[in-house]
Amino acid sequence: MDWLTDYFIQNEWRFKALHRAILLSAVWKQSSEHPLASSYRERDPSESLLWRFRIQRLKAEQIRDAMLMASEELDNRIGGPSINEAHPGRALYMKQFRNQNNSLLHAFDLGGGLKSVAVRNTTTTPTQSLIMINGEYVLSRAKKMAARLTHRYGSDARALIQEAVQRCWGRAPSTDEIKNAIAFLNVTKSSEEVDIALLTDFCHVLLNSNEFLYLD
Amino acid sequence: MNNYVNIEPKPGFSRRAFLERSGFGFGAIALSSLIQRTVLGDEAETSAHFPSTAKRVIWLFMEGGPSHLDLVDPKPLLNTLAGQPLPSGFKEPLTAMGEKGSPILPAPRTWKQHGQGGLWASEWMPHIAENMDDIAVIRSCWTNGINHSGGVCQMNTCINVAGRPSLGSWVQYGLGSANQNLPSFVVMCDSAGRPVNGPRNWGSGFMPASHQGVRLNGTSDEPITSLNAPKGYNDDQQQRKLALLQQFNQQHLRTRPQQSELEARIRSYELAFRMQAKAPEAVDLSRESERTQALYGLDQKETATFGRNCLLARRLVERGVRFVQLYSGTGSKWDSHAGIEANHSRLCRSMDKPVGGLLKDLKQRGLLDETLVIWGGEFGRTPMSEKGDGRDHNPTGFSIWMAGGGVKGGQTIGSTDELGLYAVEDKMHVHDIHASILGLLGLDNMALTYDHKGRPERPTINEGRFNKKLIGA
Repeated sequence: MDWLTDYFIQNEWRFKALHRAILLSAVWKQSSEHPLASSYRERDPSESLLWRFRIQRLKAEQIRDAMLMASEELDNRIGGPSINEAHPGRALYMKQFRNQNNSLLHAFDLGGGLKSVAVRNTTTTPTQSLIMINGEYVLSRAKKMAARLTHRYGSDARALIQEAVQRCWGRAPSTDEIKNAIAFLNVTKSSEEVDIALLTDFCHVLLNSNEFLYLD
Repeated sequence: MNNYVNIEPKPGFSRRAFLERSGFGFGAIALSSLIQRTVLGDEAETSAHFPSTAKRVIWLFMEGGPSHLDLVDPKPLLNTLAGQPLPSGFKEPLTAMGEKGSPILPAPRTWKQHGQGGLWASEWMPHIAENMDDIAVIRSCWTNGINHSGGVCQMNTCINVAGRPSLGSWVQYGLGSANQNLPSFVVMCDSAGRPVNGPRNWGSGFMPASHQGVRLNGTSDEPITSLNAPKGYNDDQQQRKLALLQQFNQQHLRTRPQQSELEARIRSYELAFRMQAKAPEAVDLSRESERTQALYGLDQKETATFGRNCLLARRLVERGVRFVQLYSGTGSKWDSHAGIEANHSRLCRSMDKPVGGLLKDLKQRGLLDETLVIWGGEFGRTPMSEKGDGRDHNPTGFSIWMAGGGVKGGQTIGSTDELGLYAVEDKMHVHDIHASILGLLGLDNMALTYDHKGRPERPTINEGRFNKKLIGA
């Protein structure tokens, strides 16, 4: 922090230069996977020397927005009046009521809006799991996602799986993953119709997966 | 719970990091101290500060402010001075509706002394009155909350300004959970409505959301929000989804060893499903005998709703739920600015038998010894009338009572003045009430701290004292 502060001042207090220095740094570009992780962990178990990226759970708003992105519902407009919970705009613009709480966002540690919060908590609770796997909101996103995918790819199971995984995990599925997915969708012949209910379930599972919820 | 613990704190693995990342949303603190004790031999990390007499709490919250003058704090002078202004010797009170010059309202009650202790109770609480020897009435309570929002907020969070953790959250933080399948802080209301302030009454303030109370609706097919699989899903479908999820998560984990939060999240799904499996049994009142149901008034229309919640409370504490809060008169219904006779006689009827039944039932099952039952509202009511036949809010002197959990029954603590307007003797502010509840649970209100923004926060905001008269000292 000292070094950064000094750098900031040296560069005439310009934020752009500061941001560039941070974003182009080796530390910033790290992955959470490190070839020497086990030996480094022995020496620096709390990872205080920042030798790898710390795996991060998405924040409450990011979880909601990422789901809307995956289901292609996200209204990505900047600014404008505040929105209600049901509107698929970014969570940033959602109205906050201090005597109510949106169960999804608050379950994932959104600040209460009553006192300033310097650092948000990051918890892992069964309540979150229940909301994600049983809750109406997440299931509705999965339904929308399945409907849009079907609209675009018909019953081409491989294409459906490829696109669903790409949308949720930001990468192509492995051969094994495709095999598991095909088995889950109960498709035996390539010409076979993909059951929209099963595709919905598949999307729902992707939205619940750690690879979706964590950034590494 | 050790079966589910394989995150071993290593040097440099902070307590905070453990709490945040562990899969134990319910009561991670006490659990972590348990682990740290066994792993690091750190004896300082005990969850309770001194031996407790109470292990769990059932808090009966009469929302809106019940009249102490008509229930447990008889004032004959009210009837003598009926219709006259407050005598000149009294300090002019500040009340919500400004009722200071209005004439004194009589309390046309029939008072009787009960039990060995000879505690007073009015005819509005005949069933509770049968248990007076288990009850300690605190007649000298006072609060800063002059209106409902501030009063309810303070009674729950110790301050009338929003944003701090509720007492239930502090208890869960301090003692952790005593069960694996149910939340440890549960709230039930006697209608589908909301108490004033809504969920922030049981909010966790600056603590992680996992410490907040969980609202439970015992009459619903889904007692806890999102507890059940979505409509139209059978077990097989749900299992199939979970199996795929498990497969994906395990694959993901394999390439990311030593990332404990990923394992914690996988386990949080397992915990969620244990909860899903166990909660329906916990709230299934058909397992109770007809006699027990009748004891709580489930067989009568007027008492069935609150009776059901009282009976559920007993079932929950039996299963290790540590803190249960029941709202009576949800949505400020005890607020009786006008027509107090009709209002209170109706609400007392709905609450008295269930509460009396709860005390008896806890006692006969041997649960009362370690279960602290608290009864009270956010404030009391004024001796002065409002609108001719009602009473205004009285934050300066009111009663609550406690039973069980080591409380010495058959005694009154403190007193109000001759008209019940101001607490005068052995005054107990909400800080003291909370400090005493924590004290009965073995928690020292000054030693229990939570680091927030670099500052150790205490449940009673650095004030409050455990009134040991409660335990007969």
